[in-house]
Amino acid sequence: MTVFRVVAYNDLCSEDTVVADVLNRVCGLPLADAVALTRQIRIEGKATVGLAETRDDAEVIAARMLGFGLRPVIERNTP
Amino acid sequence: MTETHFTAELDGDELVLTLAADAVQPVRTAVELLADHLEDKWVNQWSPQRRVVRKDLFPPAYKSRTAQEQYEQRHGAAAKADLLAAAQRVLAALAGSQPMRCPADASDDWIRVLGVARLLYTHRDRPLSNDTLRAQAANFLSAMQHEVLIALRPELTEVGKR
Repeated sequence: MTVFRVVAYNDLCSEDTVVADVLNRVCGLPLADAVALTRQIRIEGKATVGLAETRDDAEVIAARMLGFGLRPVIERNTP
Repeated sequence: MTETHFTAELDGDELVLTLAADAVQPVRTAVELLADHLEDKWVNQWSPQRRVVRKDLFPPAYKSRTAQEQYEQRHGAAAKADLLAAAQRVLAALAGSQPMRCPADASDDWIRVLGVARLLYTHRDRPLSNDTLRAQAANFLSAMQHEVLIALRPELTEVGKR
């Protein structure tokens, strides 16, 4: 059961290439999904890019994303 | 500065970075400034400007203030130390001769440091412009980051810039 989700929020100064790369390598998403989510972030303002069973797992993902200059927010994964 | 001031190429297992002589100092200044922030060297820790910069560099990972404080206690120091170490390695490279060469598997130092350092000169919620020297500095750092990434992963070229 995934209790937490990591949501990437749009910021207006990040390159799409960097966002896609981070989603691919840091969040472990397939490249096609990473590119699609990058577009979703740009168009809709945010996208869920990671699901985690524990708070710690979600925080590790978020901390790594922050280290690349992205803007993740951890939320409870309510249905 | 323009993208012609900087090139990144992959040479075997090494990343070859060439930065024009007149661009070295501005980039070094940006990375030194980032290192100062990460080391909390600013004289007035609680100045409004510093708080704004800190929020741009490290936006909250939680909407809840309590959860965010706990997150910072768990991850803040390690995250800053890790990024500071990367910034110091980039500064060491900038102090050396051109072109700079680094192992491709260490290129995340550049991608991360450039990606965070640009936020010293712009705000996340402000559309990109090229109207001021600060905006131009942010754009140049972003362009460098993009060039490094495309050199490593040309398949991302089609994702393009915003």
